[in-house]
Amino acid sequence: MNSEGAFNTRRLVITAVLIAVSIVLSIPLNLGPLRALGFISFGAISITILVVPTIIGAILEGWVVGLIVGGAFGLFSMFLATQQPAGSPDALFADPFISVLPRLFIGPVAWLVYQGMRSASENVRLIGASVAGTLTNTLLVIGAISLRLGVPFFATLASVSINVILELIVGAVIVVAVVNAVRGTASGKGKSSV
Amino acid sequence: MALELSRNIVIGQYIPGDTLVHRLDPRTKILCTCFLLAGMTFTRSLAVSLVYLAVVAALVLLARIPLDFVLRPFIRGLPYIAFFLVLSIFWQSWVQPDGVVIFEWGWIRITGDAVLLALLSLSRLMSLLMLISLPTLTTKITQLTYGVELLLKPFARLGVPAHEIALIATIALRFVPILVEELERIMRAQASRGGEIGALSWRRPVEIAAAITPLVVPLFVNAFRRAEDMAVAMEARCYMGGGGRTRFLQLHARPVDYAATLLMFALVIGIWFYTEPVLQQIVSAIQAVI
Repeated sequence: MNSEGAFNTRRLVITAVLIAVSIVLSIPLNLGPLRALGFISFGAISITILVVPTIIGAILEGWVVGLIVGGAFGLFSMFLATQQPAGSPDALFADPFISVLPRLFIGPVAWLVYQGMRSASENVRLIGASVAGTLTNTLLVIGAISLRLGVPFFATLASVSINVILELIVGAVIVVAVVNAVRGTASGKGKSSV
Repeated sequence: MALELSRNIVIGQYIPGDTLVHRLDPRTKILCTCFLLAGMTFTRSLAVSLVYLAVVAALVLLARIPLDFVLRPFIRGLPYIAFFLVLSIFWQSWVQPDGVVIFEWGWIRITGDAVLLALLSLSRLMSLLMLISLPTLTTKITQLTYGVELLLKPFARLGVPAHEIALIATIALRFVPILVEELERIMRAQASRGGEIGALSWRRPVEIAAAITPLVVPLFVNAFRRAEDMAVAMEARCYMGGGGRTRFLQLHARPVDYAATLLMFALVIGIWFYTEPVLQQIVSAIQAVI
């Protein structure tokens, strides 16, 4: 396969498909607690796994893909904020400083952590990258909100601390499962199918 | 269990129309949006922010889109936004206790500056909501993508993959309905094996996590498999990147497009010039040298 430049055909299509996955994950479902596949609300607490495609892109295809998928995820959440009247603080995400800018860093940070943990076992590296990516998203988005609206950073962070812990766990489980499954099918070892 | 997801997909919310805003070139709309975005993002003055709010509201009305339609997310999210703003007023009054004190009772204190800051955030949020929805309401998404590609093209020499970004956006949007169909199939497949997703309760978070994994993992795996297939198909048809490709859709900028772009640019720069003393100092310094 041709591999000139940062974008060979394969990498280009994978980036596009990961963006499509993050869009699909944010489509409203209205299945009780599943507001969307990537957006689960437990009563007052809601968690999101929308960062997962970005992290997976960064792990499998490098930080450029992570950057682009993260940027697209941010842009889509910005547009969604203008049309998703779900009765949530979503409207805040119409501000690109809150919705787009922080999301650009998810992929590169996850990639750096994944590359930096070379000596660890594969699954530990995946968990590390997933935790780093999810935390990047949370801390930077909360930071942007507290900067833009002038609210205390740590109080806002504390109000979402339970969500963050749930997000870290669910995110890590999915990242490990998906990366192993994708590598398994790519190498043709176990052709898992639905 | 509602399994017809396809009915729920709303990407872009184009409202057909034949107004001046609708007829503008997508590139004009993107540029004007960026100018206004920069202007309303970097201002620290409530008056300027209100001017931008009025400008954006005028543009929405010019496009014949009802104001309450574009402000609906704001109205529904009002309790949350109000909570943040009240928190911001108390916090800012506490952090910066100087200035005019409007209200003081015990250790609770509200300063005029804090209220002004909250009003600035409120006005900025409203104008951002209207501004961001305007291009997607008045332009088809394919045209917006092409507009972005053409605007990025001059930067291709600096290494910005303009054509690739546009192609990624096109493929991503084309893949969404395919993946939604895929997701419907996965949900039916898991439901037929007894996996319940319709009857979940938030009281059992572990069950929800356990129910999502068998949906999300096959979705990713299938997406990757389709991507590999598509890459092979593209290479088999000798896809070589953007060089020399022609387009079915062509964009033509008219004089009104240049006028609108210049007008918005002048407006933002003008407001910036009059409100930021730094710029005036620079200009007077240059004049002094000359």
